[in-house]
Amino acid sequence: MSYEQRAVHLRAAIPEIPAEQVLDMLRHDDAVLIDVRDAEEVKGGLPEPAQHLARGQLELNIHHLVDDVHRPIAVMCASGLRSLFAAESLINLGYTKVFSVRGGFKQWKDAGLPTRVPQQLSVFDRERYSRHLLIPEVGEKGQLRLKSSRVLLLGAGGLGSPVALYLAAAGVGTLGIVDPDVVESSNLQRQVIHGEDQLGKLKVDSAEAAIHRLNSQIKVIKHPVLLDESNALSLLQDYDLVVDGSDNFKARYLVNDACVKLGIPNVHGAIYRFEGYVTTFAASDEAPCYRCMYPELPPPEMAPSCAEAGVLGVLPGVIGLLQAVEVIKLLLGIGRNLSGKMLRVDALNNEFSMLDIDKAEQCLCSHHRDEIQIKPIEAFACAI
Amino acid sequence: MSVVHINLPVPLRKLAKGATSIECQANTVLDALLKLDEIDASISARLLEDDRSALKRYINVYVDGKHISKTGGLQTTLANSSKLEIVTAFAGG
Ligand SMILES: [Zn+2]
Repeated sequence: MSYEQRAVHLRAAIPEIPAEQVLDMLRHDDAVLIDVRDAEEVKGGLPEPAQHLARGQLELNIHHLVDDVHRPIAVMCASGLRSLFAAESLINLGYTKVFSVRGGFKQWKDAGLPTRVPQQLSVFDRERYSRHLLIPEVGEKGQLRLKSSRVLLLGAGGLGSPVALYLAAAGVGTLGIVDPDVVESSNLQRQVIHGEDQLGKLKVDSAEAAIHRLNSQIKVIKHPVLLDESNALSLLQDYDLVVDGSDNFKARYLVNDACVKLGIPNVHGAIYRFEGYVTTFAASDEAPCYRCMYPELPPPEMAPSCAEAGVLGVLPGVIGLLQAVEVIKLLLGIGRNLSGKMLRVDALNNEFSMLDIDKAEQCLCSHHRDEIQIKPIEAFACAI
Repeated sequence: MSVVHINLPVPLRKLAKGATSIECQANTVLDALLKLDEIDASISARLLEDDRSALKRYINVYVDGKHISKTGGLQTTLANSSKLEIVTAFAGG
């Protein structure tokens, strides 16, 4: 039988419906509309309610979209011909209510029915992020999620440097950076996002240059300001997630209070000499916050002072990248995160320990979070 | 008496001549913290409220990974070779 003869045969055998009837079917019959055109073809648009599953992938993957063989399926292609062949395949697989949309996407558009432009990775991005696409937990959907994510880095210092570099490489689409400082030579031992040629320049500018050298597609939003009670909420509110790599107690408490109030997860890291802490304050009803663990700041004699502020240069790499892993998992909604747990790293002795953090009933995070007032934090000047 | 191992937080280490941890004999968490005064008489006062009924609010103590608030507070009994971790905040980044 020739192709034309087969098409005539199928037209007689497969029920066809006009594009105008599809929306009704979706609404009233719990039907599903599947666009079987190639990826290239749907770039310009596809029916708003359609799922895209290219003809070549149909038999292998249809069960992911439709697991009930009696659920009505409307199949659409460009003109209404390929959809006949696709519908036949589905019937052969055992689906009982399969329709071909007459006139295909052309008719859909001509009838003025709703369309959307699909979110898709470009060919370049597909190659660039191919090692992500190969991981089922990430995949194209996850990579698109990272691309549309907005992460605020508090500090472009020891912790902020590796976090920024790896999140940029991983394709997190928007990175905000809060840091009022300029690059000093004593930073270069650990703040690997900055180089000798950036000495004296604003850290946010230096970080932006390094991020764009790595990944020109990342949108960098620079905030060369000191976080305080007057700007904390406005700085944080447009972000999905905050990475706390700040270097003083005042910022630690401010970012905690603002994140808890706004419901923004805060991935916390802190370092000193050979030791570091990592956790996630998830800012949910069940999750503890920084104040649950430390309701009060330590007095000067119980906190390391600036004169003691040494840190092993590679330690922020270890702690910062543990934070970066948390960020990716939180953005993708995969795996287990460190909410309610503090990971303590003792690099000198190779000890990793997990400490519980309980939600404190009397903590501000346990009562009407949205009513929290962002108050100035009284911290003595020189403590880390 | 149990022999227990205490990890010192950074701000206490200079009082302990740089030691990061010490071993001592103690039956409860409170015993163990008071034993630290043998190294430097000011230590327990930095960790405990004046009446020794509770930890200061910026101090956390874990015994074998569990916060003492879940195991009996300062009266938590210590087994031989228990590991106490005194945790204070630091804010470096
Ligand atoms: Zn709290």
